[in-house]
Amino acid sequence: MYKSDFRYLSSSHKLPFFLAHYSPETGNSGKAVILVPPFAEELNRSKRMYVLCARQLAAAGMEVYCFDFVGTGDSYGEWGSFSWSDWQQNLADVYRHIKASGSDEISVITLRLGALIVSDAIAAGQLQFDKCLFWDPVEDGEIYVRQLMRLKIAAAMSEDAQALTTKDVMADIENHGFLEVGGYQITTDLLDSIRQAKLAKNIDTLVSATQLHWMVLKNTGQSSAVNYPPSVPEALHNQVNMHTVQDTRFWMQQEVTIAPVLLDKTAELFTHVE
Amino acid sequence: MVALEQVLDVLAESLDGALPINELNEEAPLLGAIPELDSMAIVGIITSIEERFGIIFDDDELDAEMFETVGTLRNQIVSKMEN
Repeated sequence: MYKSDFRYLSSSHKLPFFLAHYSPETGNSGKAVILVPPFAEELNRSKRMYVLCARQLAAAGMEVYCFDFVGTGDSYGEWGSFSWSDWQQNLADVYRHIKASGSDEISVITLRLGALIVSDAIAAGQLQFDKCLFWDPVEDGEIYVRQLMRLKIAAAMSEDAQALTTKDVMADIENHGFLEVGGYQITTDLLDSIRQAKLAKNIDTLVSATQLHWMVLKNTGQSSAVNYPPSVPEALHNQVNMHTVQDTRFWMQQEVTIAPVLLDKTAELFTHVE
Repeated sequence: MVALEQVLDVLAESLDGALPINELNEEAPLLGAIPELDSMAIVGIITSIEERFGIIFDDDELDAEMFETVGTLRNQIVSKMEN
């Protein structure tokens, strides 16, 4: 079983942000996990999975912390009015809060774009994580921004609206100072920060600073062969723990979707005694 | 050559079982006919196609006609692979 409490944590940068804490009923084990959210629509579609993951890990004896970056989810601030560095700061604030609460061993789990935020924070030398688990991480911010622009083009297609081209989207960003996609406004500064974020840039630091686990989701029926991603050079293959998990890519699904195999594999990783 | 089954496989993977794959043929309508085919699903399908067939679409090549039917999607992949 687990207990939960919810609060707003003061940010050393700007507005307070939302923090949920799930803890084992047996008391503080000294081991904590931070669940770092993904971004935009992927954030909305993964909320349920995050809660289930937090509950499962807390029931297994971990102190688990979920938060919303300022300007997103249940946190203060308007979407689009915060920067990449504000979000790095939120992560650092949660980390310090956990340290002050008595947990010495802190790990992190994140999905998609969260991996770039976490890896930038680790590379900056601010935070030290015992384990770092990426669920289908975004490797290249440039490609991610391209996908955001494609979302805008695809939304026009699926809504039977006037067809859009990349040029239209670029002009729109230039005119308004932000990219509006799925109801979110992403400022040009934030887009630039995301573009510059690359896992390959930080991979050397990551493997030396933390135990890196990388889970790739594949649907049942697809090959379960482990393929190292482009960000991991061959020389580092033995330092990155790759896992193929046959389960649904829940953050892509229109309906709230659960990936039970991923939850179990994750719990196994964090409760396994070496 | 791109087999119909390969295209259906990409659709099934991206739409997570929302499609009755065995009942679909070249003429099966996509956009407007499958509620699950929203903007996230479209981008997911495009990305899967690029990875699986080793092609990269220019964003200006992406339009609603491409997703009109299973056949139009297949034709677009074939055309891109030939160029």
